[in-house]
Amino acid sequence: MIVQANGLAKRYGQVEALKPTTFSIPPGRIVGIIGPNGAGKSTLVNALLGLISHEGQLEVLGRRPLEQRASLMHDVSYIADVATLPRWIKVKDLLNVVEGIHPRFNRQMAEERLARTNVRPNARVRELSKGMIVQLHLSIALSIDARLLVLDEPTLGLDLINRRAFYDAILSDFFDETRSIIVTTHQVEEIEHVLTHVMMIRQGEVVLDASLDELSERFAAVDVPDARRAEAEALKPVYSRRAIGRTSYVYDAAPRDRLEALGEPRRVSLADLFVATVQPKGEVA
Amino acid sequence: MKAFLTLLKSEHLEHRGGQLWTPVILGGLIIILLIAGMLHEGSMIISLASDNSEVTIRTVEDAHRVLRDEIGEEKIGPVLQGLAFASSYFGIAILMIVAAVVSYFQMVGSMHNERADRSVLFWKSMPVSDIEVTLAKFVSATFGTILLAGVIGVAVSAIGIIVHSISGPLGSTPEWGVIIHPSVIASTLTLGFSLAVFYVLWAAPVYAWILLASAWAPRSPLLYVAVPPVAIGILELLTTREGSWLWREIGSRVSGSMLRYDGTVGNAHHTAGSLSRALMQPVSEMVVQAAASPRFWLGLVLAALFIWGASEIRRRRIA
Repeated sequence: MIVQANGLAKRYGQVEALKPTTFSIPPGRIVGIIGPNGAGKSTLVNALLGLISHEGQLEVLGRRPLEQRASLMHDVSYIADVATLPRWIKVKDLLNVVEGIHPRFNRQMAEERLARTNVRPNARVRELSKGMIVQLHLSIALSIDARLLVLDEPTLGLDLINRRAFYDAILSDFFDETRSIIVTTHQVEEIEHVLTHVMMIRQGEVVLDASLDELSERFAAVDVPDARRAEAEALKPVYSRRAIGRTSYVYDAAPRDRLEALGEPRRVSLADLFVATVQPKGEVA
Repeated sequence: MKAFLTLLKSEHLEHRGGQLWTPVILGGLIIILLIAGMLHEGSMIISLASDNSEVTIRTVEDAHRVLRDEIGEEKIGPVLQGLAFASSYFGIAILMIVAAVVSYFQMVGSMHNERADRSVLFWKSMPVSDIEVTLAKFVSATFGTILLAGVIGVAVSAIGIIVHSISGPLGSTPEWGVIIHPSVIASTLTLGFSLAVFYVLWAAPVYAWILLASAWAPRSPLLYVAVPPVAIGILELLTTREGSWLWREIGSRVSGSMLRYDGTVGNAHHTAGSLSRALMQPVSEMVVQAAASPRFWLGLVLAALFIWGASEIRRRRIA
């Protein structure tokens, strides 16, 4: 098991940043942690990485992250936030330092990756653009032979072409059935095709933890003309969005045949599911 | 060990300005002053000779001859020897003293800067423990800064000695020969190294306190370094008649009052052998004094506790 959390929780004074959560992540998964700002995504990720103390039990690759962070980092590679590389260092010195510290760092791989970017080895990090810093950090993180890769908003600051290239690189160069990846992001559409699993967080609470296959079986959307709205709402949709002359309804585990009677059921996009799941209760139409 | 050395190297890259460029620029200035000082030394020797003789003196060689004839080898020898010693090695001393000042400033930012610029999130993704990182920062700011300045000081002295030997006013005297005798050079370097090491060891609790405050400080680490000892000192002043024990303790450790160095250079006439022994004498004195002093060992224990504390704070703190 890559991650095993049992009643994992974090409290800052009176604020419950993360409510008690139990979940596990076996190898071979790409898990998207999705939630609005301040929902507790980073708190969860920081606990996994041994960056903060927590309540409950947590094991990552068989180690307690806070107490055994140094050992854990042999097998974990992560980017916890944008622009965390030391700004005073030169690119080539940074590679030297990582090479000297990290036994699983493949310098040649990192240099090959960097050669495909505009990052010059003699530049200092502070002279690089935001996008170049992200590329540099990714080049390092992906060149570490880790069993778990954790990325917190990894593509912030990258343009569309680089974002695509980035996710392609993860899938082709890093991911296999022995490893897992945890990604948090706002760019829901972009990672949909990459993920195998999704955890949605709202106000410190994990409100959905499922595989994408399960989701497409459980959830369905139907476009219903205004004339049949009452009929559609009787089936208790979890989310609705009005358009001209019709309304899109999202259903959780509604009987297939009754949905088909209303219209043509289709797969729910992760973005719609995200809005449906994380909007505050009571506002659901 | 490889990781620890890499951490030291990384600390050095971060603090290149203080650890390398400050002593290099200062060393350059010292060389210029040294060369200018040779003229001054020449005029000093000439005026010393003129004051003690009726003979008209035109050159440094005249002055040396007159001094030895009129005042006598016994009296003038130590003076010339002191002069030669100072002009050979004072670069090392100055650079190390400046580096000691720099080291405190480096320590103030050591644990705080990585949180201020968020790079702690990158460093924590590396497989090194918090205690290793904390120790590297401590060692780099103290031994690293001061000893590196010492090495640059040695280079400055070597240049100075070469220049002196070729054209300095003392370069041809027997006193000069004693000062640059290999055994004297070795003893001087050993003394310099020991002074640096004992300075850091005696001041270790002060350094480690700064490290701890830097690890704790949510902002402006200097404030967190200064306020507690100032507050305790004022409290002492208000409640006792003896003044502040804490301030005296910090003062005596930071000022290096426990250090020993030879005071006989310039006062007694030395051969290379006796000068070398005289220079080594304070080294063994410092070892004996420190080993027998509970104050020394308590300071080290306190320093260890502070360093451990700084490491534990770093473990839990990313902002």
